[in-house]
Amino acid sequence: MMKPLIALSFALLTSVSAISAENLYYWDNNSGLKKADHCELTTMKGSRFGLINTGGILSSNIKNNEGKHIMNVVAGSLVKKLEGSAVADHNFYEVVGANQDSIFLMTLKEALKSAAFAERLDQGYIKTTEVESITNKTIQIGVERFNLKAGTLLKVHGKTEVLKLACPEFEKSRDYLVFHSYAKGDTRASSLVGVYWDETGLFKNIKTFDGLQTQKINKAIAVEADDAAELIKDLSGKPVVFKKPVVTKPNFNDVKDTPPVAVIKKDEVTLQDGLDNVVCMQSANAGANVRDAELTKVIFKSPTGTRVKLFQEFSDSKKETVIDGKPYTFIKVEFDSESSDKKIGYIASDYIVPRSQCLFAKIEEKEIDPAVDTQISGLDDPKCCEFPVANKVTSSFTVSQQAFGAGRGGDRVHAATDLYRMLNEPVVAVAPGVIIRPLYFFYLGTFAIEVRHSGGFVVRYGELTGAIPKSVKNNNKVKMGQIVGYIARVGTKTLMEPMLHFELYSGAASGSLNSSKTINGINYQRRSDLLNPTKYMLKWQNAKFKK
Amino acid sequence: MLSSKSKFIIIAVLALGTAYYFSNQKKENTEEIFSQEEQSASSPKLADLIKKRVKKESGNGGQIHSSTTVGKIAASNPPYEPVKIETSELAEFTSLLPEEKKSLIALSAVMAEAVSNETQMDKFVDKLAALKMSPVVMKDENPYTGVMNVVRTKSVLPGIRYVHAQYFTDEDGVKNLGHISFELKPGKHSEAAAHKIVQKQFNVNSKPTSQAKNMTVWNVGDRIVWIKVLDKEDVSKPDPINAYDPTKDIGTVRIVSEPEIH
Repeated sequence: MMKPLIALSFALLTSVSAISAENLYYWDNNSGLKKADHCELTTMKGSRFGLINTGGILSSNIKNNEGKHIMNVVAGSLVKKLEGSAVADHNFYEVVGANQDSIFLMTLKEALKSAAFAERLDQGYIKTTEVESITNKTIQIGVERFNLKAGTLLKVHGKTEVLKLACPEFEKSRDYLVFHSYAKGDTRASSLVGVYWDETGLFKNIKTFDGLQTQKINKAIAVEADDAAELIKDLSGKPVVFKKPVVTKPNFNDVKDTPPVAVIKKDEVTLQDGLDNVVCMQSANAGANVRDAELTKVIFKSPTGTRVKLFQEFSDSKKETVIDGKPYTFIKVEFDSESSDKKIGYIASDYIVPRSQCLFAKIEEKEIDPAVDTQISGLDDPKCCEFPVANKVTSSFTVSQQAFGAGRGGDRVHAATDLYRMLNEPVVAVAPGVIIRPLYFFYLGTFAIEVRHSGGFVVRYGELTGAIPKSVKNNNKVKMGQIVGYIARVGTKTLMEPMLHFELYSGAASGSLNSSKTINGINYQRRSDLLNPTKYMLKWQNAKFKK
Repeated sequence: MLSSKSKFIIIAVLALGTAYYFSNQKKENTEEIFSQEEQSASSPKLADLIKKRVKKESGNGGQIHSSTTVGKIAASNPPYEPVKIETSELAEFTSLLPEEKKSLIALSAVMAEAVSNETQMDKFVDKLAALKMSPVVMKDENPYTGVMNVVRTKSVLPGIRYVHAQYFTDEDGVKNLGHISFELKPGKHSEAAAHKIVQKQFNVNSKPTSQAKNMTVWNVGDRIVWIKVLDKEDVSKPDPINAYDPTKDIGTVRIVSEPEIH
């Protein structure tokens, strides 16, 4: 036993490569690892990140703000704590990366067949005792991202304190938690990587390790240290000196805005795309300065192709200023949420255009969650389909106002089945298909999407929240069982229970699903190929929850 | 012992009674609904209502009927008649500036007219242009569920923002208004002002269909009109369409009309 340990220690001590300022990076969601040799390295106590540890149980429960269990999060998944009131012994978290350990997942999904599993960016309340500190835990990158290779191990070393990076081009509060990065197979860190808690794209596909595996890894790559100097010491024992950067307050006039881009602006009243505005610069790699409300400070740079929502203020007051002798009008935008908290800032209006008008806007390839991938020929295919909610409904959809055909006042009748479940619980695609219309305003504060499924039938999933699962955008393909939205409450707590409003169409007709027509004299106010989903719902429900 | 005549009478009565029973059963199984006579889409004035009996055939799953008969129903929204509202009627709402009151009156009138003339998207767009709001019509189209047009504006009116309307083109190529809404700035009297305007513009009772802490709903024809005061949760949660600032937008009042689609 001693001989291998001595050999390993010897290998560690005599290893040639050292961590130096050249091996210091921070993570940028839009371009990967970026050089951070100008940044300051210090320490901080702890971070927002945590790992799900249920002490042997395969998953933890995520609850909504009413305390109801809405989905499961796999043990070993990476989460981050968000602002929000603690409730009893629960805190509010967001899933950063679900543990993709394949054998573990298989076991879990077999054991919890009908459960909904949390994906990245899903949020909810988790017991604080089931989230442990990330310090001294190892995360493996599952899929290559930009210049970060698959198989890379990332580990936060420390005892009571951990390392952080602070870079002068960012706000002071933007602390980057430092991970030691190990290339696949290496027992010595080759670099330090800073990760901001609100920019965590590198963790989209990760694997973490159980207790035994962690022990093995820790034996190989342990760094027993607490303060910054020790933590970054070359494992050969020599301290590494980082040049302390000269931190200067950026001068308003020094921060140059890149010249306006020449985009081809179509001169027409009707725009071809929907509400899809992006940052648009003169090249795919250029970024626009995002400023604070006073327009004096650049908060961060946003690359071409980043989706934004445009604010409207309640008065048409313009924010204008002159930069490098050129006048600019600035508009307030909210950035598309790769992050949890709202990212808001001001960008010159010249740099915001609809996506279809931006020559350099990339269409991101969306990941598809590895749900069941089955091809079906239609509704009557024996393999069809998946029940669209995670658990048994809390009230039968065959009776009362939940049922298809139930009276709705006057001569109108219900054109769907309502599946009563929990607020914010996932809704899944019943079959493989394509999202043909993304979230739009539906009813009393809720939204709907439209999906054309394989076999040709169309489903409108209604009464959803405004949260878009990461994999869901227009023209995106979905697999059977993939999360396509989350259950909303119609109106307020006292008006209605949270539910999925499920409408089914054969696909034989075309045009909008809403209609002023009757069908056989019945006022469904829907298109002529509307189907009664009840028998299918019963079949899918029984298949999912049979004992 | 019964005579032949008596027996005959009893049998006849039984036979008649049985026949009567079964004929009524058929009637009871046939639900009767009333539909209004079809009205011309171009002149949505209420014609005299003609109530017809229509057989409703119950669907038992899957296809609603083997040979689907599609018919039109009349629009049940009342015809639009401009409601004259003076800003002085909103005098008590001092947290709104005079120009903001004017905006609220003007835009609610445009919205009420759009709701009444729900197939006339171009007219709605023209009205927004006349208010100098620089309307923009966007189009979302696919081969399976057709066209959805979204109308928004580049400019705002004082105290008003996020005008949004969704028009869906049906099987016959007719555009119909779905959701339409706008927002009124936060303020001490914004909710009350919105209530008063909605009641006047849509001719609804002060007693709504349903009312919760921050939300009020009225049924108007085959649509609903609702008002909601956005709280912290509303402005913090994800919204795929509008941008919100949790530090500034709490108390914003949303005014909406939608089809009773649920």
